[in-house]
Amino acid sequence: MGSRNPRTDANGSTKQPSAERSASTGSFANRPSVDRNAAKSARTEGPSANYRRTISRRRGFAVRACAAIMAVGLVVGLVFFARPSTSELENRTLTPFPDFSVDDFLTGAFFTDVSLWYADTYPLREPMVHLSQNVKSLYGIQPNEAFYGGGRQSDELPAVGQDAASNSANADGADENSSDSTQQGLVQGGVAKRDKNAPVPDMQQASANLESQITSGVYMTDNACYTLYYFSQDACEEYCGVVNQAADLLDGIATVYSVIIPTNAGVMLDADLQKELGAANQEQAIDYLYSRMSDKVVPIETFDPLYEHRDEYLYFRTDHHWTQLGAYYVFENFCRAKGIEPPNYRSWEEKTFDGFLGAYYTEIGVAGMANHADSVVARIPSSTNDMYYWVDDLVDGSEIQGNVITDLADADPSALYQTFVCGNNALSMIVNPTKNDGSSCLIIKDSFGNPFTSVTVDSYQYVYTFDFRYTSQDLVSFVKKHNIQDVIIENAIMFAGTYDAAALVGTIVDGSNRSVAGDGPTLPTSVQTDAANNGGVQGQASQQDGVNAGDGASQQEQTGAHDATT
Amino acid sequence: MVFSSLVFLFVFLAAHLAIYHLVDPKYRNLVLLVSSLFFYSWGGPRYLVLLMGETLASWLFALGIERSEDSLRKRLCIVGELVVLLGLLAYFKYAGFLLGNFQAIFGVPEFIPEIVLPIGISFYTFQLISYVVDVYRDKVSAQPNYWKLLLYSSLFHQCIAGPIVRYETVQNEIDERHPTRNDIYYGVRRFSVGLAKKAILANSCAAVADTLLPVGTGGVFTQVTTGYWLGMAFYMLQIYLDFSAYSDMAIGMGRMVGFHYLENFNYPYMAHSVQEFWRRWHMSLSSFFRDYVYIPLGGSRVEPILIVRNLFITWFLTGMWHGASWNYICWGLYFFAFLMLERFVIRDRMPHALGHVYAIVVVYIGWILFHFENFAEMGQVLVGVIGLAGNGFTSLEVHTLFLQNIFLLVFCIVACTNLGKRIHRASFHAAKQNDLMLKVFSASEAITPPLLLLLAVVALAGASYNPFIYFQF
Repeated sequence: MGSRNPRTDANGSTKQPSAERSASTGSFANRPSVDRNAAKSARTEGPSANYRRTISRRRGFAVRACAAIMAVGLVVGLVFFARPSTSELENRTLTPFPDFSVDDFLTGAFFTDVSLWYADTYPLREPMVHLSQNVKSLYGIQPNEAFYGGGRQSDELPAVGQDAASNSANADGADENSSDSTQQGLVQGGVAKRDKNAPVPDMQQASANLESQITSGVYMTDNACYTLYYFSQDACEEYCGVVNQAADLLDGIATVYSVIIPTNAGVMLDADLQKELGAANQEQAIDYLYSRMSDKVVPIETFDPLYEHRDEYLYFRTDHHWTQLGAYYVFENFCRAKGIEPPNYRSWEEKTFDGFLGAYYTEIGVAGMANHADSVVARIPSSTNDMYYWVDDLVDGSEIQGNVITDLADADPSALYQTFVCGNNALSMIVNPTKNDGSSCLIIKDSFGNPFTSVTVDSYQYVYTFDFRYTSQDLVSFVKKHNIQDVIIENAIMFAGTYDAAALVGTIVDGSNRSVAGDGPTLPTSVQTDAANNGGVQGQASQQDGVNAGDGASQQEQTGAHDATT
Repeated sequence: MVFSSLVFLFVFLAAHLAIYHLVDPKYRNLVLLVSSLFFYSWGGPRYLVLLMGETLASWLFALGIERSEDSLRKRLCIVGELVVLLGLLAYFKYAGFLLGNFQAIFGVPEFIPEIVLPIGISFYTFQLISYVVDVYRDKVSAQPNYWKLLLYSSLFHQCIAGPIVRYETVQNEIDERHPTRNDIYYGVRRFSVGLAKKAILANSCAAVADTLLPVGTGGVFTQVTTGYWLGMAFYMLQIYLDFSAYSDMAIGMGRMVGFHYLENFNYPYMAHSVQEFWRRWHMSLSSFFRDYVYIPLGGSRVEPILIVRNLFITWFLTGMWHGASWNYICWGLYFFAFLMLERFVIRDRMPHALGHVYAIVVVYIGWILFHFENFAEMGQVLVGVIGLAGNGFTSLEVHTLFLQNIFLLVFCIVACTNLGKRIHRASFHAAKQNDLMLKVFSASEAITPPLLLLLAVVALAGASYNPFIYFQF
């Protein structure tokens, strides 16, 4: 140890700075200077030298460790092929590498997007995100009862059927009331006309706004979260106007049903508690919405069937969605309204996917929720488990084959809700091989519609779905082209009661601003064994698919094979 | 490029440091210069022309001052410099603001063009002005080499977000730098402390502050009293931790390669008066205004009425430097009022402890003026913190956020004090006496920088949220 110190020579005596050297040169017999040497060597060689060396070594370690971390980070970041393009945890596609344009380059926008791409798709990001969520739980104490995303206020719920003008005119006189209503262009029934000249909602922005509804106004207790509902009179008027318009346009062509679903808070929390938290009563809100719809719309009672069964597993604790069981109870009610037999749901083959940690866990990130994961129980319709779906529903031949209930036993815990109808896709189509009566329905849905769609499969020959956020279809032409009998407009109330949802559904209904090329994609013919006997819808479908006519025979064989194995 | 981002850390800085240490030492300044220009271009290559142009003008004017014999020429050069640089700053930063005010009073012009603010212009403009004025005052000699001057003005350590480095601080180190092992260690350590402070503490405080007081959404108007208190408390922590972290990183990166920038913050929330606060907060800015505005106006060596005038002008400009909006000017004048109060009324009569409470309260209210550009929101929050907003005293949401972030809150408050520094120094000395302390202390020296670096990286990966308040400056 001693001889390593550069200031000592091999004998341990010090090399002194020149000033001192001149003082201590002299005979070795000069004891004091040797003692001084000894003292000096003790200082530079003893504990304090040891101290300096230790500190110096440790500090050197720190610098090298940091350099190593930077080097690893650099190398990992360069491994381009390992970059993910989607995040299962966050259920979104990650930022793609930006396109280069001279303009963007000069303003720096290109580089900003590159920074975002780099961070978003960094190969080790997901484990780091998990880790950072755990670190965040160290910031404080998680109270048993919590509230997120406040600052929202609910409009007062008017009485059922009361129109907007008379509700707001309580302060104004009756005369002003009537002039107000003409100025707003209210049509009969007090439903406001939609402003067709309003700018097209930016789809991405509207979707993002809707997503944010999930976590603005969330009450948490016992590691289960509940999204509250805040009523907005004007937004609801907009939505009802859109549904009414759909019914008008499809008058005599198809029946329009409205299914508005309460959130978990609406059904599972006490009405008093919701009131205390400033939220609106969802039963009343749904009743009000239905009352604003015209006679041509068939509203489906959703609150009562769910409330009756509220002791059962109707909603998830870690996710804002409902379960397939909840969807079944509402569909059962739908069947009653329509006058058909509900499917024999309980006899269907059941699959359970455990460990589901949904949107609340991902977006609010309370670590304690991980110990109270949900289970996704999915029953497979007895008629078929096959379906087609389109991500871009304008591209012919781009349909993807999938399952109504996908086996997600090995999937990421946050993705288990995707088991229903392959998640949210612009367009999908399910053909029931056991029916040939031409019965068909189109469900214009949000993500709550996924389990709902899965329980409708046995009841129709054809089930089509539009996701109101992603589809490019035009309602009327699609309905006419495919002879659809029932159009079900389904939305959870937290989405239905927003301008964004009204706008998005509106563009489907009136076909405005949708980049529809022609009549949308050619749907694949999926032909049953009795196709030849079925003159109606089936015949039309195969005529349209001129390109596929020659393939009709081979497809028939394929489908036959399918039936055998299902 | 934001310092607290993965692309800065793992692409730019990693590559830059590797190249810097691998090349022949005589090319090191070139590496720094090229890296800095690249770094600046990341925020928009077309503004690089402005930076290089202003540096060129300053280079010419400074040489003109040094080489000319008569004072008229010198004066022309300094005036030229001020006109060009301040003129450009006024155009890019304040034209919209000035035109807006003109329009509000006179109704014209009808259309106000939107001018994009080049990144860092407030910082590098002041650095260049300080350089030329110092040449004029014979404090430094002019830099004959344009590229070295450009290195000074564009150095990525401090170009974008400060500290405002005076030329005299680095003039020798531009040519000769010999970082010792200690320099390198302390530089790395300082950088990792700053990065962790930013990525973990400041960003988390920002998240809470923005949840409670979401600017520009109307949510500000429905908040409860405790929500206002807590939101502004987190904002107060955020802005200090954020800004001081950036200075930490700049100083750390500088030290790693042998530059010794001056400190920019000295635990401002430990102050016992507003005057002391401003001797501890953003010291490079307040000293700039002191040396280049206040003292040339006469400073405190004139009769009281002129002192008031000098203070007024200085604080008006200080406020305005922070943003082209009236609330920043109000913020500056708010401090002017308290400084006058302390200078002429309170003088030295404030007891120590009470002074600390008073300073914190004054600064806290000041941040409300600073945070909200919209006067309606600002007014709402001011009314809210005294309990008169009418939305209720507390709410479950505030209660939730408070409990969920209580350790963070306490830790951040402690981080605003010099407790950490004192413990570090005490351990340093204790380690000399005691073998066990030596082991503990040296282990902490070894582990702290890489650990903080890793934690910061994890935090950055996990967060999509990374604002820097002073960024568009």
